[in-house]
Amino acid sequence: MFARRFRKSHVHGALLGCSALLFGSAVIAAANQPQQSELETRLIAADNVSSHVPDQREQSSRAPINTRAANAAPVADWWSPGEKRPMLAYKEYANDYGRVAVLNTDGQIDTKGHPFFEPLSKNGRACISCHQPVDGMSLSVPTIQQQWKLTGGKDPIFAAVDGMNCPSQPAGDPKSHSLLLERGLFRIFLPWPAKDAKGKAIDPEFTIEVVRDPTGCNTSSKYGLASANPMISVYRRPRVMANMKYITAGGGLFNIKDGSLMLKDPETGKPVSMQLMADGREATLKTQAIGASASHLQLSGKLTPAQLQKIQAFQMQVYTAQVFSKDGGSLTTNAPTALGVRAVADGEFGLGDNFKTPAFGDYEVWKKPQPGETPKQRAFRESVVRGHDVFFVRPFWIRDVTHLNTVGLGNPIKRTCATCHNAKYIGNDIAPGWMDLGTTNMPWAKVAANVAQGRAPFAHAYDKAIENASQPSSADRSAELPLFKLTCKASASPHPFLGRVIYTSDPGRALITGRCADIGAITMQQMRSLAARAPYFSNGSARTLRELVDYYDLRFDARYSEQEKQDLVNFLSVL
Amino acid sequence: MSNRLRAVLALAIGLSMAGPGNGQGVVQAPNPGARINFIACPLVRDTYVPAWLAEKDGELYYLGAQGDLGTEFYPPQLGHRALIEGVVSTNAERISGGLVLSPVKVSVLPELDASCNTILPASGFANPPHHRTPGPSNSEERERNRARPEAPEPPFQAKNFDVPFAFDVSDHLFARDSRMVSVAADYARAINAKSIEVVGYRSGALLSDGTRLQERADVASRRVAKVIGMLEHAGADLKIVTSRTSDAEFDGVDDYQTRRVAITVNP
Repeated sequence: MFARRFRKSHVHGALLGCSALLFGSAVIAAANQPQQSELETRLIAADNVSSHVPDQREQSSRAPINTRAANAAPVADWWSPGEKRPMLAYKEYANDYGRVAVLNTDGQIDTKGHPFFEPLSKNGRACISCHQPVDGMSLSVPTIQQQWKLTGGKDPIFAAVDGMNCPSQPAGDPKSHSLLLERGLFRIFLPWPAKDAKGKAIDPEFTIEVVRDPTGCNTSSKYGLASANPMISVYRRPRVMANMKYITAGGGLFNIKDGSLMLKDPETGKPVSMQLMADGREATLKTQAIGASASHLQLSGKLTPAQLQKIQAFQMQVYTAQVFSKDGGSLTTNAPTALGVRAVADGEFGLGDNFKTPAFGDYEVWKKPQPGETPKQRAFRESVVRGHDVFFVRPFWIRDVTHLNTVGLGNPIKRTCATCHNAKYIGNDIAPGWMDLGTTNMPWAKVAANVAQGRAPFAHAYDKAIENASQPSSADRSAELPLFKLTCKASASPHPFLGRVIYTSDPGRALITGRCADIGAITMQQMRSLAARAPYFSNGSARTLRELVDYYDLRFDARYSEQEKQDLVNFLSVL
Repeated sequence: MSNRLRAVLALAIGLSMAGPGNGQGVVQAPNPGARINFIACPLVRDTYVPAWLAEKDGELYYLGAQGDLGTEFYPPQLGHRALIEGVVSTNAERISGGLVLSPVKVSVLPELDASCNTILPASGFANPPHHRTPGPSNSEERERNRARPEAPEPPFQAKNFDVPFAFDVSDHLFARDSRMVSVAADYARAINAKSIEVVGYRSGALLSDGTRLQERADVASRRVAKVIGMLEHAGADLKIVTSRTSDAEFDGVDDYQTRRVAITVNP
């Protein structure tokens, strides 16, 4: 074990483009600096929109690019950049639970020359690389593993820049890509100390020490916190790039949870939802695309306004949801009102933790037998109805969640899943959805806090549950991730539930704001197409829907029965 | 007798009730209307609709029910002590076993206190009066969806907007409180304000046992910085904004009203 302390230091870096966490990748090998191609030169934009963290560009340009990156021969349902095949207006894709659909409400998409589908840089990636239709416009571990086998690790998604645990690791070795291959995690490198949306340096409320660095990236002299362009590396799942009318809706001047300032659209000046990214750092789909092009695509130029417009237009018209259940049959005919992709496309943004407009619609139709229904389908549908009720109306104590228990509701609060997952149709939080659920901070943070206050390491019921859990949990699978020790300065308020010394594998929103209260806060994901895109949580700690349910059961001591757990899994599988 | 004098007398009654010796033997309930200011670990009772309580000198006080952001009472937090400033209900009513404090204000103290960790069993108590149950609400309304005030009409007048803060807090505002900043900015824009004065206060709390709690030294300047940043974000012209800090007097009577930033918009 080693520890290094990193305090405020000047952050260098080009100020061209910038960050984000979606997109796909290239491969290893050649450590030479990429040359700007003719195409890239033409892509340099004339507009003034930039992403939140332009400093990413400098590091992405340092990462080696394998110019021999290879797409696999076409296989069913995998979409390689530059394929030039049309994306159908509607298509269904098989998964373990049935079928997910991707719907283009503007009709068939001509992908030839389309900036979402074309590789725009030398690493061979495009947006489509990590937002695969077969995976509900995200990227699942089975798909990642399939591409490794098919390409011998040369698919662009395995690019050294972030598809490798650290670009400094040996090329071609699956161990160098273990976080992507096993947990579906891409490296997200962010400047530290952080800067605000205007590029002004933030004086952080806490210091960061690297306690454990299994990937080597945080202590790397080239990529780490002590490098010339200081960056912290955390590892996160690609988010779903669909159903964006819900994700981008809402947003006021001030965060209703703490009065902090909401980001504004740099083009319109209007406040935005801040729901795009795990850490809430990008204001719009355009700034996100600029950031992703600089980091994930290693694009040395900048996307043009026309390209940005085209990417945004595509993102705003593509929808995804499960449409068929292996055990339950059709999710679109004689089915609950919010199921199926067309329901999502036709729905309206709004608050759904109420009986008038429930988040995931009305399940009356499945409470009674349907004509032609098999006994297996009947049993499954009844389970889904029960699972929905567990989600919607079964209360439990929700405790120690920053940005929920701190907003004026009290700690703990006895509520239901729908309290946080309150958005109609997609089940995210319509207020800015970053919260400290504990997936990145537990159990280290609790242990430290308990010990510091003279308690047993595991003092709460859920601590003990995690300690004793036989099934995999974030605690069991943590060793492959970096571990940071964050110490809040005396001048700052402590983290509301973890105090002044916090151990975490991903400080989350705090890497953007520098605030102790934001440590470990991650923006919750939408809940559609879950069946297509395991694993879950931003760090991929839940490999299955059952592990996801188990996590909540442990974390909140919800005491779900086996029946309730299975009902919840079945409910989640049809979304 | 002025209301202020009545309140001070009531506080004096509360102080005398809380004096030495009172905590031994039989607990005598404070008189209705007495002010009770104290710091304690909050307690929450596990009724279907949870009830929030706190104990002082052997007496259990009822603070309020779990609600939502639209309710007046915002509960405290386990894991933290709370500053409780209330008035004993005039009809000596008890809810969930506690003597009702109404009105009551709760400030969650920022530092952690692991000893504040008690969930009381329901013990047969009925649900407290409540705005909503733990399940989904019956309304689509949400705090932030409340309508803003109508546009002002001339002749315009100077207007004050108070932004309350919790004890020792400068970086966190509840939604209903941060709204005051946008309302002030809207008003300034609507009347083409000539100046906006921002005064940040550092205050304290006089507890019933006579203890005087003072907020941290830099809290006023931090509050000013927070509110000016919010005003700017809301579109206020910083060229017309002036600011200063001040120490506020506190005497145990509604001290929570003194922990604030005052915005004055002048036409």
